[in-house]
Amino acid sequence: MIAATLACALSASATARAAASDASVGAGEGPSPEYATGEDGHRFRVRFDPATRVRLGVGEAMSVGSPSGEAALGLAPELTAGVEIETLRARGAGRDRVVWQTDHRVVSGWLHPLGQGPRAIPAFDATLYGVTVLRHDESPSIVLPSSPPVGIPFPFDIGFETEVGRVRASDRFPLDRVSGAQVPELQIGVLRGALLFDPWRSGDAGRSVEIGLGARYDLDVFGAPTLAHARLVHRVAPMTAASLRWRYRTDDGLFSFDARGDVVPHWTSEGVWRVAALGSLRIERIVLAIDDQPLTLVLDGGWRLRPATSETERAQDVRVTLGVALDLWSR
Amino acid sequence: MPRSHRNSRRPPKARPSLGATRVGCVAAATGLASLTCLACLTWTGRAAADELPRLEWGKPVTCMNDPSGNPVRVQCTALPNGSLDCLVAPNELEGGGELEHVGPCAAPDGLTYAKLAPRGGTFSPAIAESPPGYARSNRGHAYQVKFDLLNRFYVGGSWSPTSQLAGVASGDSTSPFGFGRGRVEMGIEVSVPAPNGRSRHDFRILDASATFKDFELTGVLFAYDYQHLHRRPAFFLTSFIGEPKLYPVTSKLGWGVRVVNVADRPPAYRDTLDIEYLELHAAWNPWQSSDLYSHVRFEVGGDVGQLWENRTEIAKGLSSGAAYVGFTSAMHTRVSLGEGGLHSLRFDASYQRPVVLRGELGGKTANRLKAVASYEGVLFAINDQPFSFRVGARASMRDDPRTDTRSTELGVDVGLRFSFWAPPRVFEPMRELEDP
Repeated sequence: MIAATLACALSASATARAAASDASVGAGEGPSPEYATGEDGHRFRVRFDPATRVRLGVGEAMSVGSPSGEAALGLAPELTAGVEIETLRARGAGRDRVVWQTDHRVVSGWLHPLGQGPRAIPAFDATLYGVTVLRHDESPSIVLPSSPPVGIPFPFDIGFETEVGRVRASDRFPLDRVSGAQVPELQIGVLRGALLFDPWRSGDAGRSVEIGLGARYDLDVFGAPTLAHARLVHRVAPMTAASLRWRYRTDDGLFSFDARGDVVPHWTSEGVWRVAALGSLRIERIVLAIDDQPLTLVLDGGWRLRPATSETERAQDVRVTLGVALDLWSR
Repeated sequence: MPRSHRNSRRPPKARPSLGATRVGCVAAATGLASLTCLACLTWTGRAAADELPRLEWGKPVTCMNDPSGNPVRVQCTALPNGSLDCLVAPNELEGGGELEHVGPCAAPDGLTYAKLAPRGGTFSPAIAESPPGYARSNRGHAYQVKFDLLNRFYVGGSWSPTSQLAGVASGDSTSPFGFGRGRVEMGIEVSVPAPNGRSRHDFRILDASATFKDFELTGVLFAYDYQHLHRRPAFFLTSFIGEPKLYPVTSKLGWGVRVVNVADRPPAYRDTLDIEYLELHAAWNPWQSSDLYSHVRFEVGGDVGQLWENRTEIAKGLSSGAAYVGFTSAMHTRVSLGEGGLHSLRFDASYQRPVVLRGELGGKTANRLKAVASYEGVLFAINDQPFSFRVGARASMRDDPRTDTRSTELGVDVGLRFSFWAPPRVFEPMRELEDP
């Protein structure tokens, strides 16, 4: 049932992309060859859409954490999985052309099944659902409803992003301010949303510079002393969460790059304002394909600054993973 | 041993050696009436019986009576001048009786040599055809000369002296077996080639042996192995380093399963019982003969079973044993020498490393290594059921998970096997490409 639903979704996505491709042909852009032919006459795919896939990956993660100023290096095997679907819907032609690019992420994330040391839970980062929507307009403008209406050129593509149900457990827990012991912690991103502005306006799938401003609600669960007896810290950023993201993808989809930074001033349930920060970088290169299903070399990194609470110290950690991922149902 | 005859080709020099006198059919050549052709029908002299040619299997045969009224099988070849070159074989056993293992023949009423060869011909004595894997004696009896020992029910017995080198875990420093050890064995082997799939399916059923004196019992209830020689690529690999390149990948992978493999009272652990309930493995066949009869095969897999340190405790139920899971690996070599299936060589080696899951031995591991090399050759056949000689050498090493002692056993087997069924070995060619 799930497979059938997924297949339908991917099929719909393919149809949408085909329509978008037709539109681009209509706009005067030539079709690009997706297949080549081998010496024995066998056709094989040479172009991919790495944003639509069921991903299964494995890698080795290196993490560096500095709770209480003590840096420590750890290595752990990492499993990745997730479903991503990208659709492109195009309308019009020429200056009236409008393209909607939508990127869905469903149940995606990573897991360190063999974490270091005795832990109640393994390190992981999983997101239930996230979506990014960008609207590209060949003639972007702000229209003032005067009589007659006045159009003012607007140098951005616009869009929005939403993420629901993100849960993270770091390789390293923050330290208790008094005892210095590690305090188990779960970070739950309940909901976040942001408006996006893209000054690059490429109109191409996977190429954007997104400046985001939005709101988010996060919940930190600290073990007191275990997660079964938890202490909660609510964090709310009322349209104060800023982000900057740069996505790039080659025409053939063999190489992709995604860098992102977030600065999140927020109010906490402890009655004070704090600032959290995140950064991430992901570089992918398709090196092989097995029956046209790409095998990707992945370098994935992330940095997080976790603000202090009344009982825990500020902590930050860096995770860098090098691995491979097999993309199923990739187009 | 009966002499092996090739049925498919007539010896090219056979006819002159028969002393045959080929009479030219002048009348026929000049277009005279067929009556004159009676003079052209020539019966060649009878040569030594063991030099008689054979009718060719698969070619048309006509059944009729010779001029003396004896039933014969006639197979003719047209010559360029329109006459026929015919072989004539008795269509009954010497002394009477129906021929066995002959092909179909047409039997028109009232057919005579003259009607069969209206433009003249030569009729030479011969022996009736026999199907592949069979030869036919001069008396007309067909007997099997090729055997497929992968398809049989066999029983056997052997002399199996065994020595134990170290690690006597039974507490008995005197080997309970020794020079006078004997073994009886039985098993069902079935091997089914699938030319359309360019594959072969091997089955073993109730393959077991028991030794005299110490009553070591080993056996497999059911085992299945699959191998193939596919020519279609299993998958295509594309590299994107530099210009995209496509590489077809043809695997020689197979798989197999083993169900209920029993090792009761092995020599070094006289009180133990090991039942492996299920074993699954993937296999790689780096070399296979064109009919997949012979091969070199490597296997890697896992198994689950139970171990009883005191075999009598199984009377309390299966829960009394210590469950284990483990890693399994094996290498099998199976080589048939020649196409007759009369001689075969085997080498089988296996390594297993079970981990006991619970009980006093929970978490303990043990190494088990076993190797058997053997030769089996058909000595003779009784009513087409082969009687074979088998000689082998075996070695095994086994850890005791409780005491961490290691026992090594060396032995040889010299014995005989009698196989039922064992049909002629089939050389059906595989298709050029397997079915998709």
